[in-house]
Amino acid sequence: MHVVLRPGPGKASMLGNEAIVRGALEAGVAVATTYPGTPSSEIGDTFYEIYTEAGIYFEYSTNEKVALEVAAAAAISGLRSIVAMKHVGLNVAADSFMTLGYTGVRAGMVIVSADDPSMHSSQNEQDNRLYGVMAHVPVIEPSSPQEAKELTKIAFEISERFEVPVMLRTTTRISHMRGIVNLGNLRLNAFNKKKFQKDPMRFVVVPATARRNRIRQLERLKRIKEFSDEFKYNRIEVYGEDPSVGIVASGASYGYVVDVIRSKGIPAKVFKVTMSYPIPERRIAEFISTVDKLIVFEETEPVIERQIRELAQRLGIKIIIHGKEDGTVRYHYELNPDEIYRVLLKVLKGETSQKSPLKVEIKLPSRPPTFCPGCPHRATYYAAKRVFGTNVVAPTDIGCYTLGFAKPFNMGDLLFSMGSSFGSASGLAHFIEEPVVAFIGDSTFYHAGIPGLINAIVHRTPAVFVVMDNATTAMTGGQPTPEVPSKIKAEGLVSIPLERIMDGLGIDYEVVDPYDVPRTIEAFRKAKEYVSKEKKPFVIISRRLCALEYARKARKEGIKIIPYVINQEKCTKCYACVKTFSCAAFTILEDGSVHIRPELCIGCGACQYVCPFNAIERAGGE
Amino acid sequence: MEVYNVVLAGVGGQGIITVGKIIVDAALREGKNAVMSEVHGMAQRGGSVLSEVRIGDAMSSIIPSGEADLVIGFELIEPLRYVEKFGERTILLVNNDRIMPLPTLLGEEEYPSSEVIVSEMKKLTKRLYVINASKLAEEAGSPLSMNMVMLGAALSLGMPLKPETVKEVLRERFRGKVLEINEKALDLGFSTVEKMLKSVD
Repeated sequence: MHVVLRPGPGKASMLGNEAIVRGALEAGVAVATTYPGTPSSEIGDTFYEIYTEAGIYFEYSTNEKVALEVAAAAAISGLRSIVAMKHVGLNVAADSFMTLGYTGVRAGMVIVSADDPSMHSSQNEQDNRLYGVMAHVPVIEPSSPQEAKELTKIAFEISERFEVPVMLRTTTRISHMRGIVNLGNLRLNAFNKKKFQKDPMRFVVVPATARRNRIRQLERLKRIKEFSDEFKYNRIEVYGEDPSVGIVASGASYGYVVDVIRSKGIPAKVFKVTMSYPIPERRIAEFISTVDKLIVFEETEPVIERQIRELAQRLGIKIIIHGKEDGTVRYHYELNPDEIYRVLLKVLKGETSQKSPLKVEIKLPSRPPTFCPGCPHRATYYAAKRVFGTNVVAPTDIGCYTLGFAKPFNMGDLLFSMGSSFGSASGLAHFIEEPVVAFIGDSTFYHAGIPGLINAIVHRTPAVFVVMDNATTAMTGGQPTPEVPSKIKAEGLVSIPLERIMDGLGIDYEVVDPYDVPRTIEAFRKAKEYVSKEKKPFVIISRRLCALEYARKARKEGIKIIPYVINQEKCTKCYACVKTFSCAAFTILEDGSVHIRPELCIGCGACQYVCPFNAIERAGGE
Repeated sequence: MEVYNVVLAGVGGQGIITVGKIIVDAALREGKNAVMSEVHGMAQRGGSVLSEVRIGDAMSSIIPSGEADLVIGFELIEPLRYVEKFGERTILLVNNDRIMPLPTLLGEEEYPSSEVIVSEMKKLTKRLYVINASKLAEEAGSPLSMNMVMLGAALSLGMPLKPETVKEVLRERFRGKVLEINEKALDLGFSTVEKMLKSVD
């Protein structure tokens, strides 16, 4: 039994993301939706594993906007819903999100925004609490897996009390923190069909209704502000004797603050702000009147700090406030215990903390992430490079295949967001002299790539558009896609093959298997010619199951993997394989000989076409 | 406040997160608090992986500078990336397996010799334990059980968990042949370091 379904009471170790699912199940959630994205993915993955057993509705939606709309439809129909996404996902969903802050909802709705300070796995470190400020949607922030569970539960109550969605904002360090969680009682089987209560004057947003909603939104915010003062998770803790310094902290920063002041014995009054928008104004005002100095620690933007500065100015409270705005606390990247200690030493004692005297005298080789052994993307890029060389501009997209921008392929010149490869390429090829080849993954294509391709067709953009179809959303852990929508037989979902989309759009295309390297090279050659002759777009669908998924499948179904080996008699140590194909299973021993590590090789055979001396053979000489 | 801090350093795919999870579950079984940081997504694809586990009264899963009790390197050079975690009490346990990163294979960056790496490690701590965990894992029955060899070795270096509790967690997580191999690997790691400790005494 999955840990999130274990009956309470008791304790279990859980990832922050699992604790969020547990909290939702304890709150009687009926509908859960998501589009996967690090660091939010395990929320959806956990729901996917248990949703049938838990008696709820769950879906991997096409993108975050659809996920949010499905969850909102549920909440407006009277079903408690939760939608989870990574921070940049809310950019995709922002259009509906912003107006949802006006209309509000009926049953509780929780929007989980998993932010990624320090960009462990993201293109930016935007702080989505600012979306809460913009839409007047309350934002709460957990500091541990235990709190992630509790606050998810409470978020549903807050949402219902004020008829507005609540944003649960986590960061990587909370979503991906494992800790001990106290189990409460589960409320399973919450999904049952409702009768829709019509109220178009509220839920159809034309100017006349929108104006009414706007007034209601501001009145609601006033009531939420009063609630924030009563909210017991906004709390004051006193450490040590006669503290004169006040610390305001939220989210992951709160944990660092407590660890540091306890281990170093620094007396301090700590205001743990859990509702970071709107802040508990009355209690914060009282708090800052009792301390000489105030330091604010929070992840990414100074959202709480700015509210406190504004509050102090408005109430005429004279206090020195240290934070990100005055440069005391580092603005960029996530905080950590060392940064907290550095700031405390500086503010309290005017001291600079001592850096560790230990250092390494040797240069460490860098170890960037790479394609997995047998990854079909490697073979696709190899073929593209063989045809286009370096005289090409390659808009790329978000997924494992983004790594194609690195050596040895250098296929990747432009990337903003999900789907941006096809969007930007649809214009780029009109503007530059070089040939344009755009790369996108299957899941990303369905998510936001289709409008870019339509634009290219309509505007006759002379570029090659490559959909790298590995039949899964690989980067985030292997979730389904609209083409392969289910891993469960009984789900009865409908597949939309890429071919059907291309046929419908009326664009010429070719489907290749990247493991068949010669044919894939031929396809790129033909596509290049087509585009330069016809002056219009051409699509290559490069289709082969994700190597990780294949390895998993092989293990499960008992398929024997026969690795490839390098025939040392034929090998001339030219290193063409290592330098131009760079499979992660290759290794060079100290005598300079090249080998394929049998425990890593998945037997795809793509590398055999790369060796100019035919030295790469299937083990056993078949 | 008593906290035992463990740094787990290695390469994506070595089973580092699994070791962390087992430590947390074992701590829970012994009625202790434990927290752990994990990495997912882009960072996992064959890149450097760092996970931090803290047993005891810790709120956050990030170990402050200088406060690691035990650093476990699942690959030879990886622990040197986290030099700031080393302090006076730090023990370093490392697998002597060298995994060449891509820039090294491309001939652009050099992977220093094992002797050079070990001599750097000796500057960081007097308590250094280098073991051939990958070979021990093969002895146990599968190269994939290398992580269990390291966990077993860690248990003999003062990690505040009973080996029997860890085995209970293994029996809960694994079945059949995999369980058998993992238990054997755990024992091999444990006894290998035990012998090293005895030979020093």
